[in-house]
Amino acid sequence: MGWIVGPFKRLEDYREEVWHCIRCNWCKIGFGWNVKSQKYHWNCPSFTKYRYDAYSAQGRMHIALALIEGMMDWKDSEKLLEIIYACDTCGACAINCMRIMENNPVEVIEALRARAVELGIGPMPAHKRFGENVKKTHNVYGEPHTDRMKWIPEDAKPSAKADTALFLGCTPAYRKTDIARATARVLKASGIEYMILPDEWCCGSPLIRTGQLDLAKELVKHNVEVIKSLGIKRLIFNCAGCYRCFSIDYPKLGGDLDVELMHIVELVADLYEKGKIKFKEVPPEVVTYHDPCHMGRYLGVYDPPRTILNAIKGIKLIEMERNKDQAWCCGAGGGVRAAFPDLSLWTAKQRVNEAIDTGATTLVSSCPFCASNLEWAIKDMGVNMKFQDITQIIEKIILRS
Amino acid sequence: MSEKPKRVEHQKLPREVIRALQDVVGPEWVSEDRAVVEAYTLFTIDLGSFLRKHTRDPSLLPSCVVLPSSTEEVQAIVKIANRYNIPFAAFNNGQVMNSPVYSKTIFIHLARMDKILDIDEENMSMTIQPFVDYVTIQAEARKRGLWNGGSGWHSATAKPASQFTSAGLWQTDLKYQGLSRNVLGIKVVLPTGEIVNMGSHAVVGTGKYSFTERFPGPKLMGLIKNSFGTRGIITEITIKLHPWVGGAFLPEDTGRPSIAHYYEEAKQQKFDNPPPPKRYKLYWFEYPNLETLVEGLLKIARSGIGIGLNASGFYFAMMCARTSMEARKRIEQQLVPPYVGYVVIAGISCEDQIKYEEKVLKQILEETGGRLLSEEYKPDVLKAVTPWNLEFAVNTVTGMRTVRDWYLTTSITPYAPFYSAIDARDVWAEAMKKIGPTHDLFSPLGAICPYLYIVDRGHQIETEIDQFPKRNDFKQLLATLESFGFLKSTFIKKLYYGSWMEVPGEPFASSYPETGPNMYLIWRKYRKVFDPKGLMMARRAILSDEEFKKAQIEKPGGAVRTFRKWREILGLPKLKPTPDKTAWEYPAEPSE
Amino acid sequence: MGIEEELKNSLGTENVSTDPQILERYSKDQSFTRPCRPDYVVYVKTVKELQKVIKIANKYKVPVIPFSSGMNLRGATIPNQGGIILDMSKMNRILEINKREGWVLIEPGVTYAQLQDKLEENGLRVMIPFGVPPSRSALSSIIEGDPSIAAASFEYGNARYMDLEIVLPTGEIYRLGKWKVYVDEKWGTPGGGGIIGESGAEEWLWEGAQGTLGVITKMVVKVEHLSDVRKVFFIPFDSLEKMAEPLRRIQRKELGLDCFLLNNFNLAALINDEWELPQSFPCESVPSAKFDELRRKLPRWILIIHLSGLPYFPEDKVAYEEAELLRTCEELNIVPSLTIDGIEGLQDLLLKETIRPWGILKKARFKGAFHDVSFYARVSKVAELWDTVIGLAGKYAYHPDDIGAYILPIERARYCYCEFDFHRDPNDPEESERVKNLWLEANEAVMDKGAILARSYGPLARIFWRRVDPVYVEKLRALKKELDPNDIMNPGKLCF
Repeated sequence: MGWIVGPFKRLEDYREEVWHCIRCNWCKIGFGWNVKSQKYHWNCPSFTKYRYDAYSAQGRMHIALALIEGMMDWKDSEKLLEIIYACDTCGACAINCMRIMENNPVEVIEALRARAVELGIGPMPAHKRFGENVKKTHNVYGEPHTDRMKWIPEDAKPSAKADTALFLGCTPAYRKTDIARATARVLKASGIEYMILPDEWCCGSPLIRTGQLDLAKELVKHNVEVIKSLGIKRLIFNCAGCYRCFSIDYPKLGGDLDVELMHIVELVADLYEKGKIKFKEVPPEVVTYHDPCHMGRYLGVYDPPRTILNAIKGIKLIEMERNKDQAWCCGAGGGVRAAFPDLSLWTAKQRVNEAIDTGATTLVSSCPFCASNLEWAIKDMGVNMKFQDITQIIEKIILRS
Repeated sequence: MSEKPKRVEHQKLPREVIRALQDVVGPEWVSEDRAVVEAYTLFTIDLGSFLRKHTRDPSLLPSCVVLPSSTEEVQAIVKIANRYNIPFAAFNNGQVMNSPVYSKTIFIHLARMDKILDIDEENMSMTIQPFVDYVTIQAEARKRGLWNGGSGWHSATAKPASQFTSAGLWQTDLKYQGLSRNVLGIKVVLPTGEIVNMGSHAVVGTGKYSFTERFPGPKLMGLIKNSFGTRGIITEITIKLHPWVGGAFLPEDTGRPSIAHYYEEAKQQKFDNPPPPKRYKLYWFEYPNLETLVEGLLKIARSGIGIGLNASGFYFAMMCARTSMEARKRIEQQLVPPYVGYVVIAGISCEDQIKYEEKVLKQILEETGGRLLSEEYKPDVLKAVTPWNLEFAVNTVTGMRTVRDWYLTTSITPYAPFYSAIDARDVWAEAMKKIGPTHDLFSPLGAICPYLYIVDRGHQIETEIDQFPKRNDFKQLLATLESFGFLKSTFIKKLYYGSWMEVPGEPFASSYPETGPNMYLIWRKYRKVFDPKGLMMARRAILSDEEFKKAQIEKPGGAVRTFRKWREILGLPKLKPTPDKTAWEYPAEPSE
Repeated sequence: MGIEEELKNSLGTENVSTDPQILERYSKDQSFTRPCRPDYVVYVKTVKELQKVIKIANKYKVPVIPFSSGMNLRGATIPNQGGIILDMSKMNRILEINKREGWVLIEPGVTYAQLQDKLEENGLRVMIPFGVPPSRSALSSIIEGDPSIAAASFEYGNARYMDLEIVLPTGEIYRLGKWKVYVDEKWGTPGGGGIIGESGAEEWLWEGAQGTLGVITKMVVKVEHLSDVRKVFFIPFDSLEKMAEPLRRIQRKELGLDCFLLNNFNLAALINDEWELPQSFPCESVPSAKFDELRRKLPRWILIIHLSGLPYFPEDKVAYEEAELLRTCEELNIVPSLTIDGIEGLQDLLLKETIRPWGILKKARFKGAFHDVSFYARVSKVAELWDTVIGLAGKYAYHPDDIGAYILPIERARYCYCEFDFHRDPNDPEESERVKNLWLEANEAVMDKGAILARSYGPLARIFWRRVDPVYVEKLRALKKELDPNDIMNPGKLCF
């Protein structure tokens, strides 16, 4: 079943895939070799919470089958929209399904969403809202476009022009500005000259994930034009979602860029391994690392953050049971946070509990959207756990060699 | 004007029934939604469900799905079904034969009953609710130096509670003999709504859960085994655990895949290279042909070494390949030769056990014309089969890849003498000629070397041969049905009780009265006792008198007609109904 | 034509008996089962003859009691309501030995001694329960569930049969297993399809059924390699509490094949060469000073572990197990040895007994008759249950030193099978009554403490079945009604 290449497929193009789903159930629990306990053996947030098969990848595949084959109609179900949107597109199902069946159920789910939008049935009202926001102000939050670069710190200003550009993304720009600033400082401290796009629009990921492809195409077109016009050679991300979007989704929407794409953690790890930077020692602390789905499972960036954390004297890194390709989602992605806040928070709380069970006092990740959701859970639970984006750790201790 | 495809109409239940169900579990745990019920209509290896999907059979669609959280809720639901005379079915994974046969069925999905109720280290047992799977059992047991002895085909996601009613074959059946030998007790909600314990805890005062399956009287548990969800819903099951010396956690793989780069990572073989658990070692060997392979396997099995012993290179080529293309290439090139098998040797007593058993293995290979694969001999094959270092235990994870290529297990000769493997191959070769393969490459594999499971220290062997029909291809599914008819009739003619996964159920049971003989009449008695109203997955395991009349005599369906046809072609006796048309006048009184 | 005439016409006059002396012999055994005379004793040699008897019994609604060897010793073949004793002792053919795949096909009249002798010629052994008479029907013993002496081994000592042939209560032949196909007057061949993996387990319905649901007329029994490299180790303990952890540690390492515990009484009985093995029970008691001396000298409890080689390099197998056993025992501060208290010949005796484990029946010579409280229990409960039985003995003025004990770990000490014996002089009515009451109360007492009895017929039927889940009993009765509509098969034996 070829995928990743070529444009986004239509729902009917997945006819073979949906019949192929054989109900092996590996979309519901972690890859058997990696499971270490009953408590953390689940992998699919929506199935784990709702327990109806419809809320699993298998269920959605078979629902897609029925729609494709005309056995059921979109109007026949009141729950259909909820079913297809209560999925954070984390890909936990997909990585298992790829490995066993060479299927990617998330693609099918996103094709269902695209069809729902085409038919005017979808997306969910909350998704419609951020679609409209993006149309008006080029960011999902509906904040003024002119405020997009307000986060820039005095001590780590970008250059007017450089080969390397930092693509911020909406969340660091408007919500997690501390991460944005930390990223800038890390670049500065590493001696990397960087610029920011003068007219950066939302990467488009929230729209693509929720089936609003036409809108997304406009964003893609714009961002690609801007990047090309500036002759940028390398794009750095600090948001896993944006990184994934550029890497995987842009080529599908005609946004081919001949530019090196990397996340800040990859850059820092590379510099460290080449001896160009080092880290100061920190007071002893036990940390655990949460792999953001879009960067971890989707793009395979597992080692760089670990290289960094293991290199810092004083930090003891303990893995959560579900890590790397098997990481449990933070619960924010796929439009779930906007449309299903209960599910989103529940999912994040599962992850925070898992972090607590490692004995760590700091939960680290490398995605501002994960940061947002996990911090929300920590606050709601009132537990003794700190959250830090990895850039926030690095900015304080990075030294040029 | 093009014809609009036919929608499958959803048959709903009377409101009072829905209300009654909601009163038991709460409204959020009852759903009649069309999309929700749609997710329960396709099952892993249920050929009938695929065929009926294509024909848009409305009976495939449950009326509603209910998710209980306790034995008492299950009981209450079953009682409602009885009160209103509504067919019902219990459901866990849906991997074997779950498709209902009547419209307006209540599907009881046990997905909320996921607790481990008890781990008894002294008794080496674990009591679990229905939605606990093998992966979980092993993860928790391993921490205590125990495991359950294997995990079920189909896959470690399988749940012993439901698998007990359908199958239970393990890769380590050489020593551990599969699920039926590893259950101490069960709690069952019968189709009548009564609750009963089976196992030692059927005796009051012996404990909350069974500590032994031994019982000084007839064991009803034997009738729940392989009842295919027709004689009760298991809501608790106590399974045996055995010593595990491989450590609390399985060893890590060399790498982890990602979604975007899966194909490159697969090409570079970055993952699927785990070492075996400590004190467990896999030895791969090859033979020149099936006959010598079978002899070698028998000798190895009877020698007393190993915990798992299985063969066919083709299947490992498939299961250990990271992509379909890689599998195809391996089979075309015979990278993993067909007559390849493996034995898992475990140092349960001590490390010296491994040394001893290895010595025995080498001796037997020498005697029987087998050859051990090693760094010096076919190291590329050894590399290719590395996933099995963990798969023997947590099976079937990557082992599930057989279904990547549309697999449907077609026939298995049952636990039988070793020559049955040769017979299975020859019969399959005939099937390929008469019916044809559904997959150009994979279907004919059984005609070279079937998949062989060696069971119970070599007392028995199970052979598997498979069609690989595309499930979205109705013609291929029909060809698979033809295969069933041909195989079953052929095996019966050869005096084998050969069939699909030991399924005694319909439509085999009533179509082949030679079995038993007249096993179907005995099974009717069981059904009368357990499910007098015929509400639980009716017609799945056995037809009642009236159902027989309809399904076998008056209006036989496609499967029955297919079997009847092959009976005739292969010269099995013609079946003549009794005057009241509720049975066959067959066979003549058998004598010893 | 009456029933007697029909029976004689079917079987021949010489095979049907109403002789009071013969009937008397079948009316009782050494157990406390209430004696009851049958009306007829018939001898059958073939399945066809057997089917005829069943059909006649159905016609006249007369009970049928299957009888293979009568060496059950616990009342299994004593009628409840008169009827026909179906004596199958002449159906004693070993029909096939398949050495390659490790099974034999036998009829009900085949005894353990007969079978083991034949198997030994082929380098094989059948796993025999400890303390069954050599003339016990192997088939009956296995289907009743007598636990074999090798039960400690998960794969070699349990689930010992595969295919079955049953004559149903309505007279038809019904087969389970691979050979259950009958086409063109030919049957399938046996050798597979037992209680394994994906198979159904329908045959469990006939386990422990005591012939109430039909008569087993053929059985495929698994057999194993008989090694000529074997070693027995003895480990003494002075209490059961001290035995539990070593047993667990040794068994979890899967060391040894057969494993069991005897108390001093039973081991003394086994060793005592002043006693001869009885041929029938009850038997003549023989006072023995040697026995008394032995049981005074021997340790309270002796754990016996039998290491056995496998077909290839048996010495190596025994060597590594021995080394690991010694190492494990050293960690536990216990010392296994090849004998006890320097007793000569003990190693040879146990090597013999592990293959033909009936020497223990000499214990019957103590007083003439013995009655075991036999049950399954968790390992941690065994000591408590032993104390319970000892305590009760006092209540009935039964000397605790006169209780024999046999404890068998099952499946690597997952749980245990226990047999605690009371002895009595069958010619002493007072003692008999006292021991009977003790025995009955002891059975109740162990059940009260969480054990499950190993047998449920005879006087135990009343004790056992009222404790069983009533739904279970009701379903069994319903099944019985379906399969045996005229209620002819051994009525009153169990819960029906």
